[in-house]
Amino acid sequence: MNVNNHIYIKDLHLAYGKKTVLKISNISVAAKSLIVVVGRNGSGKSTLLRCLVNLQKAQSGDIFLKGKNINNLKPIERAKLISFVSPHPVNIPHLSVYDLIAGGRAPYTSALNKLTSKDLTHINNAIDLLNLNSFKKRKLNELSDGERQKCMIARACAQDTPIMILDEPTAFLDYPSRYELLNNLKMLATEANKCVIFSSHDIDLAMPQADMCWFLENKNAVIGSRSDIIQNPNFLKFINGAGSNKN
Amino acid sequence: MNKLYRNTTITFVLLIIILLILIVCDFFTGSAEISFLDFRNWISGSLSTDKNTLIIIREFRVSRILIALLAGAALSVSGLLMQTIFHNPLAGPYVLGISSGAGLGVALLVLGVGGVLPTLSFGFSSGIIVFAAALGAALVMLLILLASLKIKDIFYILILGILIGAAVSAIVNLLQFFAKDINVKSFVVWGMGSLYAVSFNEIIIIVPIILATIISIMFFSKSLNLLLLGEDYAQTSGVNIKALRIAVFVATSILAGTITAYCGPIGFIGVAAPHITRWIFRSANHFVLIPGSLIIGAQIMLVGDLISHIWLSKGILPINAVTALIGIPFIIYLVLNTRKTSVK
Repeated sequence: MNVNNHIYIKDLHLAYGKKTVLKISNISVAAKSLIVVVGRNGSGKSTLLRCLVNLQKAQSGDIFLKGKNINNLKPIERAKLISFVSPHPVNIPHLSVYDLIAGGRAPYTSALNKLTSKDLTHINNAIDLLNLNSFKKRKLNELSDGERQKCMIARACAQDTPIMILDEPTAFLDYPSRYELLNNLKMLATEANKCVIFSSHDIDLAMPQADMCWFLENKNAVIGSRSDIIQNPNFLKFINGAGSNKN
Repeated sequence: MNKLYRNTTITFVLLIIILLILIVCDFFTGSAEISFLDFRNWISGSLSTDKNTLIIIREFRVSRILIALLAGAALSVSGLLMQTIFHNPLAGPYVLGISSGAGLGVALLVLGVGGVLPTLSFGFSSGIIVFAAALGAALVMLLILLASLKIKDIFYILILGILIGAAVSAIVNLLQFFAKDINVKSFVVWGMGSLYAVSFNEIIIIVPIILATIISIMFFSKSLNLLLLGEDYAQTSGVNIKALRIAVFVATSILAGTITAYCGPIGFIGVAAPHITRWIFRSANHFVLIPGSLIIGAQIMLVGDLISHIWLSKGILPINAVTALIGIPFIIYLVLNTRKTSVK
């Protein structure tokens, strides 16, 4: 366990009021890793991911991003370390795809939002990565939910953070796009040295790509490689539909 | 990208030209005849025009135009801010209960105090009314601000604002029920809104307040653009949501509060102008929308004023009714028209 890793989670306790959602004693995540978070509805996947980007507060425990406690980071510093893609597609009339993705550079630009050549490179790379070149001049309200969600992922790529958190990024995508997206996430982890954590219900697609799997079950996180997890009896129950809700 | 930039610039130039034409039209219409020569004499301070005409120019024409420009700009910018921060296209400067607060201040003064002290029953000086309105607006604003520090979900603050507004109108109704006719009349007249109650010397105070507020809020354009994507995305893009909310609420209260205090509640410009601006510029960018709404709000206000005083040869229609009648058809058209393209 290394505190200075990309993410270090210690004695994390997530709860809504008095109802415990999830308890995690220790997780450390290094660069170059693609992690999939799986589990039933209500197992705490979203809550955990939202805590990692400080959109929600944990009951107790600490989260360190690159050695810094998340609570001590200013919003702008945090935005340079970690990006987030929400599961809800965003639809804004009159906003073009290009402008949306360019917004990913916000943590780096001045108050007047002037884009430098470095910003433009990151924006264009993000557009290329998600194959959005034919889309970039279109307005967001002319796109489908899946296309919009792709744009949000491109925006997070343009934000160029060492850590990326994606909450169910594949939910609105068609099958080929899901496959493509997972390949892209894998590439971001291995080639761009990022630490990418995403939740998904597409277990058959996501598990083979991921380096590690966090299986949230019964208020605990079971952590392991794909081969570890698929031997876990609870996981077998979960994918076979036999794991009835034990709440 | 460059073509877009050029189109935006051309649109701005055209809008400013239209604004200047409206200013000229508004200046040279009214119950008294004013010639261009009179105007030139006023500017140069020459005494060849008679004194009454100079007073009309200064206290009626110039004051009226300046306050129309200020009111239009302030109300539409605060409407834009409210729509962005509440993620609600129907939000305006009034959803936070600011005008209700101002109304309560005036009602307590005119109906309450005026009712208790019979000697004062006629005629409060405009200065005291302005003070009461500003105090009422500031109080409601403070309440909302405190609530927004506690309540995370902006949706509940919107509900709170509407509830405060409803409670305030109930109190105002009660006050009206018990008040004397003459006091009710002066309150109702305040409620109709007027661009004529403000003197030239008061305008000199309002101009820097409004300009400074609008210019400072322009520096939040980047954060406001990010906020369009929702609070989750804004926060993870580095926006300090609490600071942004406070800045927007304070700015809105100053903008809408000042104007409401001096001119009475003027509705619908705050809701309509930002929509018209988005539609004209086809943009969601606050770097364009803030200056755009400012100009378009001022234009609507001038058109409203033109209609309100050229309709009758003597006398002026209540500006509040005129702006509502101009604003509402626009909103209806835009709502029906955007429904086709936007799923949301």
